[in-house]
Amino acid sequence: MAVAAKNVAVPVWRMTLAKWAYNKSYFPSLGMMRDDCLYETDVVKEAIKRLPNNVYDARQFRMSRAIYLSCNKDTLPKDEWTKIEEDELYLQPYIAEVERERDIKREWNKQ
Amino acid sequence: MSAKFTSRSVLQAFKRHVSARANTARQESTDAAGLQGLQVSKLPNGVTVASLDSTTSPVARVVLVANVGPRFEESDQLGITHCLRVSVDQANKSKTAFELTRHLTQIGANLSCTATRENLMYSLDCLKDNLDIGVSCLVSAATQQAFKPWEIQDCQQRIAFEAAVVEQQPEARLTEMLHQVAYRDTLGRSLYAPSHMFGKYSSEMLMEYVNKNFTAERMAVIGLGIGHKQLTRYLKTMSVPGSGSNTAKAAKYSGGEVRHEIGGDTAYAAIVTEGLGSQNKDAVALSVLQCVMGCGPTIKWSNGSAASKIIQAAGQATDQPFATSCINTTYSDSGLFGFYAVAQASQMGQVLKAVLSEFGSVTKNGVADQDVQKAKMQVKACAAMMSENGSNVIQNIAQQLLSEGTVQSQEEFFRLVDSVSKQDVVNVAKKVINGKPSMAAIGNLSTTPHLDELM
Repeated sequence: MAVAAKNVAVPVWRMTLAKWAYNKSYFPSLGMMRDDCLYETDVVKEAIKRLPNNVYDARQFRMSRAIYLSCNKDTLPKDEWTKIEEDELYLQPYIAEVERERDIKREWNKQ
Repeated sequence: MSAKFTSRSVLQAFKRHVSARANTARQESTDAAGLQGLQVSKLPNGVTVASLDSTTSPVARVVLVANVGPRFEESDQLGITHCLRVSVDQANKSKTAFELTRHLTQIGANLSCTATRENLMYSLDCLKDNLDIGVSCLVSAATQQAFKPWEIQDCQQRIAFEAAVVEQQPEARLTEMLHQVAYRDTLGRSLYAPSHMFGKYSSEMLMEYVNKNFTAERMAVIGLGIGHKQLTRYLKTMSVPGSGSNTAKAAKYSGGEVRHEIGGDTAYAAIVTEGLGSQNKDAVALSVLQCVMGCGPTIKWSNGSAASKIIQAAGQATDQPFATSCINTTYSDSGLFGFYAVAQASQMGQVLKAVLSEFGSVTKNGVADQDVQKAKMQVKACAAMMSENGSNVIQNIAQQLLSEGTVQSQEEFFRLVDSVSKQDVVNVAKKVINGKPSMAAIGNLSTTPHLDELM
């Protein structure tokens, strides 16, 4: 499951709550993943620039489809909604790397 | 940091400047030229380490040389060494590009990557006190490349720029064309990326190339001005990216002719035959022959006819400006021997014919004793002057260590030069000059004859 990045033991009630909250969110009904919805700060923008081409294209497709559905005030059929198990936090590694590089720069420029 | 490019040859360019820049440089070189105290050993991971300590200079140089060059490129990897060379300043597994640059500037060091057709040399110059950081930067840049896809994309522009700079220089293009026509693949591969490959280098391609070719037995680390134990200690954590053994394909000389018409006032041409590899016992005699034929003027701004036979011959064939020099390029298992000439477009035919007849007369009539003596002195002087510079010394040690496994000291080299007799020179001339010729020509070729019209 992509929800927990590390191998942490999560209580069952927590998982159930997470699933319920996920399905109540709007974005899975448009077929998007969580990382598609991140607000584009500088860090996120840089991370998006570093995505491999196929991941970036898939992201663009999901966003285009979601915009179309949202314009028509429509959603995908229930069986095509993104499921929590399929949601992949694909942008996190790149964000972590960009953050790390910024921290290093900041440390060096302090001295 | 800069990524330079040079081509290897013992005597291709005469260095007329005796470098008296700083006492440190001179003292560093006197220790180094004799090569006393050169220690060579092997690290546990299989990489050869050599070091030559010098107590007088505060500068230390470390070179990591890998026997990886355009020679080893497959036909779908053309120019990958060029890409490898310009990506030396990018992120690697232990440092980001920013960290690498800042570490080096903090310690006032220079890190550069030089590519010859056979070797890739990562060189570091820094002060002796900062060697721990310096060597860690060097090792991470040379062996722990990460090839981040977005950074590889960023360096494609640099590759295109360097290729465009070369495109503007007919002499550089001439050398590439000459090698291509002489060897086709292996040594014929260009040092620079072809235009159809710009933007096509991917992270996986580079990683695969490094993993295949950067093997322990094809790598060596040489330190100048650093003790052996100290250098071995810094390299303890070095890991070699490649594994397995990958024998080099032997360079096969084919010969042929290539011409490229670009107009202009001048024509550039080079005609060579197959020379000798650096391991050949007659290689020194061939260097002497090169100086007998003439390596360009020895007095700045003079026309050189007093010093060079071929300049004299060409000077009698034309009264317009020209330049000609004997080429002797040596690689580990093969070489090129001949000459290049630059002349006004209308005079090229006469110049080429005059120089060729000079080469021919050496095989028929031999050489004079005093020419051989003069040539031997020039070879020794050139070698001695080149070893005035620490970076030349270390690059020389690096290439010898990889191609021959041992390093020849200056005294040994001088002894070999002194032992060359007139008969040796004539024999090697007959062997080499009568081989199959290759010709490359670029410029305004309206009167430049083809190879079959010249021979």
